[in-house]
Amino acid sequence: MSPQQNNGPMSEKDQAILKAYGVLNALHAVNTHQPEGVKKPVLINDILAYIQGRTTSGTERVEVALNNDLTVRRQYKQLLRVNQVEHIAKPRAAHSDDVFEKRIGEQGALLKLKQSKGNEEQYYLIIELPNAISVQSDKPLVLHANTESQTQRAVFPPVHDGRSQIILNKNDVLFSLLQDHDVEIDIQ
Amino acid sequence: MAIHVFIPTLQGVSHVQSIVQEDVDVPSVVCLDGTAQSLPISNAYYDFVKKGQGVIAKDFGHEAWRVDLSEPVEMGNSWQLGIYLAHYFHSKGELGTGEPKPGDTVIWATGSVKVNRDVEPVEGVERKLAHSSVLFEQLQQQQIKTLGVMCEANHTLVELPSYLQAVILSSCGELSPLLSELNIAELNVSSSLIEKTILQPANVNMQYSSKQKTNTQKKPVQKIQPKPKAERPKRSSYGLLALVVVAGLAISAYGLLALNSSDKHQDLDKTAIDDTQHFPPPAQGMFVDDAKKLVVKSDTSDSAKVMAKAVLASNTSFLDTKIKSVNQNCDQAEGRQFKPNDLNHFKPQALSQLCELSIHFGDEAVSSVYLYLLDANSFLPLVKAKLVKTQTNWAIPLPKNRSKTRKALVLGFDNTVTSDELKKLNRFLAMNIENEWMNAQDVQTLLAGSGYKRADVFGLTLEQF
Repeated sequence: MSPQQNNGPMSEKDQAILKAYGVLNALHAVNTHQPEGVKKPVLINDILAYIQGRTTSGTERVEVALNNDLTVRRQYKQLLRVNQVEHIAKPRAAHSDDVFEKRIGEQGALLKLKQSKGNEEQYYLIIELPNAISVQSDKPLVLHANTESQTQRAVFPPVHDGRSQIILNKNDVLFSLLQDHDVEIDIQ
Repeated sequence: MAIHVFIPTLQGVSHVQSIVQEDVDVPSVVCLDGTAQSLPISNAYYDFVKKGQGVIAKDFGHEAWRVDLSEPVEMGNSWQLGIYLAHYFHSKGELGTGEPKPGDTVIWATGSVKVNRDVEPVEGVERKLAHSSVLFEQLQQQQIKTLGVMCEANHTLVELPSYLQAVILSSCGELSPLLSELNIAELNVSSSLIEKTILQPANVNMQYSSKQKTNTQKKPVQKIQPKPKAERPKRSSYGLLALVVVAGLAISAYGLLALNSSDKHQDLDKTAIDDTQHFPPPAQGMFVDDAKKLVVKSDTSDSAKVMAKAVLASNTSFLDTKIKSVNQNCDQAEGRQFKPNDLNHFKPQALSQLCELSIHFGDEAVSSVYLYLLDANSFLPLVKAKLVKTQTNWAIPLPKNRSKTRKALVLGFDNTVTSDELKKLNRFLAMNIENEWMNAQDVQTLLAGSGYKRADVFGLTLEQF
């Protein structure tokens, strides 16, 4: 069906429709247009979601901001201390080229790294929580590893029999970061 | 011949690719296709393995494993039977990677396994069969023997495809219905198995499997019934009672040892012994038979020849046996001697075919010999056998109940061992063998490091099938 041609003056109704269309277009443009050089800010909720291990539309922005925005980084550090399960300070021992085997947290939690016998390129990263540390049985743990210049996180399955583990590939960024002698680790 | 284990799910079918023993402090895990992705059943598998809670650590002697599956298995317990069987065949060195070739056998298994090893029925078997239909067609085209393993309750509810041979398994503690089927496969492959089965115990199964073979030819869907429970031997009874008299020992030690051994025997009778604890397998040690062949073969590498010669020259000790063939009595048994491999393990012997068993310590001056029973963590003093005049053999008593595999260490000492020392040794061995996966050579080295420099240690496996 072809559109009907009408050369006469527009009716009031048509004019209203046209006006509404123009307003909607303008609104859409305002909502969607992102001026060049202006970035959507990282909100505190985005940082909180990142700390809790959730992946949202803001996760990527948080990861970028953590490396180049001091304010975001400060907020992140403050939020990390809230509901913290364990903090593992920088290792005091002299730096070694060997893969670390074990780190002990302030409250006695253990972080172990064991090479898989089945695949030499893979390592088990194991969190062992002492009885003194209680966490919800169905709550995933989130490990945050931080140096001055880098931040990585990993989500662990809920603790089972006092332990939780993930498998890292040797070429994972987190694996390299964990070898850094300046790394601080927080478990949420 | 490799045995491949397939585990059906409600979405498809997954196969076991590998089983690897990890360090003891690694929680057992199930991974997807060799990747770093652990599957949601990992926690349940951990419980299935864990000592005291599960059966894998108890039956296969180690508490940390990694299993790789080809496809995700996300929930439920029906994977337990397949995983248990995979562990079993892994322990026998026969587990395949899930890519069967002609001559191999595929086990399609579904069922949950209780702590007492009973196999329980599971739901959705019809749907699982439907999802596996393409797999069955492929296996049929390749003429690969395929066994459908479930408990009786599940078998009665479903009609298996004609190609699939049904095996009813009521308990993982009683695998003979499945092993019988696998022996049929071996008989089909090679008629020279008779010689093989003498070395790799199976005479009871051979009789059984011969009958089954005929039946199977007539009727492919042959359900192999396990023996009724009443007919099965009781797991808890342990019949290793014999030859308590300790002859040839110094009189002062004699009293102590006789008292000790007598008490031990009473304990063994009364105590329910878990017979499923496994001693570390002999691994890939080289046996004298293999070594002889390697030395003669022209295409053997120099390094292999050197090793083979070393095996032939290294040990003068041997296991002295009298073995009967199928349908023979012990009167007709023939004497055979077996030297240990380079890990100090003797070739596993078939309980059903053994008539007499003793050990000769070769050039070593041995004055006391003990059998350390892996399933009871206790010592049994051995006495000198009277049958041999020209050499000193130490008689190893055969268990009355021959339906279970027994694993033991034979320890020969150049001097008398006091009862206090035996207690210490017992603790030492129980701790080390439980926590470590070690062979007899390792135990001997450990003992040497603990002051027993003149102790000879050998691994002995008496197999039930």
